[in-house]
Amino acid sequence: MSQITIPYVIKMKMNLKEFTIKIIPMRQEVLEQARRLTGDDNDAEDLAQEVMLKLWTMRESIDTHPNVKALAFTILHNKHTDMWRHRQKISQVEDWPTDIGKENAENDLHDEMALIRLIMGHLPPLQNQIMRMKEIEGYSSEEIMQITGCSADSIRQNLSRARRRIREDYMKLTKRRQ
Amino acid sequence: MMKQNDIKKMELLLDRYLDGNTTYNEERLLHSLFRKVGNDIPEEWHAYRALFAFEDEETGETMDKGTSDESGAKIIQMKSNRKRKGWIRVAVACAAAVLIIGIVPFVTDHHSATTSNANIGNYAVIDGHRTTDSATVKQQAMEALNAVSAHHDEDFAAMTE
Repeated sequence: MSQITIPYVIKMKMNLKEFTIKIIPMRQEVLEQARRLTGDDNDAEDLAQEVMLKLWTMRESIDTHPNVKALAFTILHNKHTDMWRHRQKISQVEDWPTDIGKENAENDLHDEMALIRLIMGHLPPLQNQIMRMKEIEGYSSEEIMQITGCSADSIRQNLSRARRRIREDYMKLTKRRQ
Repeated sequence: MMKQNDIKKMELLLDRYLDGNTTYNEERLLHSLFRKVGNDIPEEWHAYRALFAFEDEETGETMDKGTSDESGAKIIQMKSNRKRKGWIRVAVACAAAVLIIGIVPFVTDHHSATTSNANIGNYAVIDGHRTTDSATVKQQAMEALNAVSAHHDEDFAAMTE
């Protein structure tokens, strides 16, 4: 046996192909547990997608994790708590700061972008993440589909909801501060 | 002032954008157009202008860059940044391989010298045989390096659309 070989495999960051083979098969179990937690098919689907996206962001260290399934379920419970908190928050009537842009009398572009940042921060987490991946990080819809294991239509719907929500909130907030 | 006809066309495109039905190129076109329009737009479009400007800033595109072709090129460059990170990993892996290959003969030599006081000098052990032939050692090293880079090409293939 040759001694001049690589003594062990140098582990690379998990790629999309490996992710699809190793992680996506857990999606069904995550989805079923999400259904038990929420009692709602749509919420369960959103949570399952969020768990897959979170695992994707952790792909650098996921191979060395001793129990990826337990990790997935922990993420699921955290995401469920986040979802619940987010809903509590938006049900409170006026969550937006009341002094948006007041320190800057003229409605310049910098001010407008700050407002968009604020609005995006208030989007439901899944919509926010899909919006960022698609429009800022340069992922294609196909790549997001593979990572989340969901349909093209589900990605399109989440994008559409996020875009409409941003536009509506922006108009509402700019009207309010005039 | 924008022509009524242009406004109609833009409205149709923006409706498709809101529905999540625009293509990648149509979205780049929207970004490019909204960079140039200034305040010469209906008030209900201000949200789009702010959103696209925000996204351009986040992706590192400048606000006054011109045509859709340019912006398209920018995005391609942005996507390739992810791949560039992959090349950095390959470079790190190769550097590690070179270090290991450099260390193995040294360790083997040190071990042999302390136990049997045998030959002094650098050599490598290949398939159980000691060799000082640098050409053989180089060939083995190159094969090891090729194994590393071939493995990582699969990563690039999977990430490419």
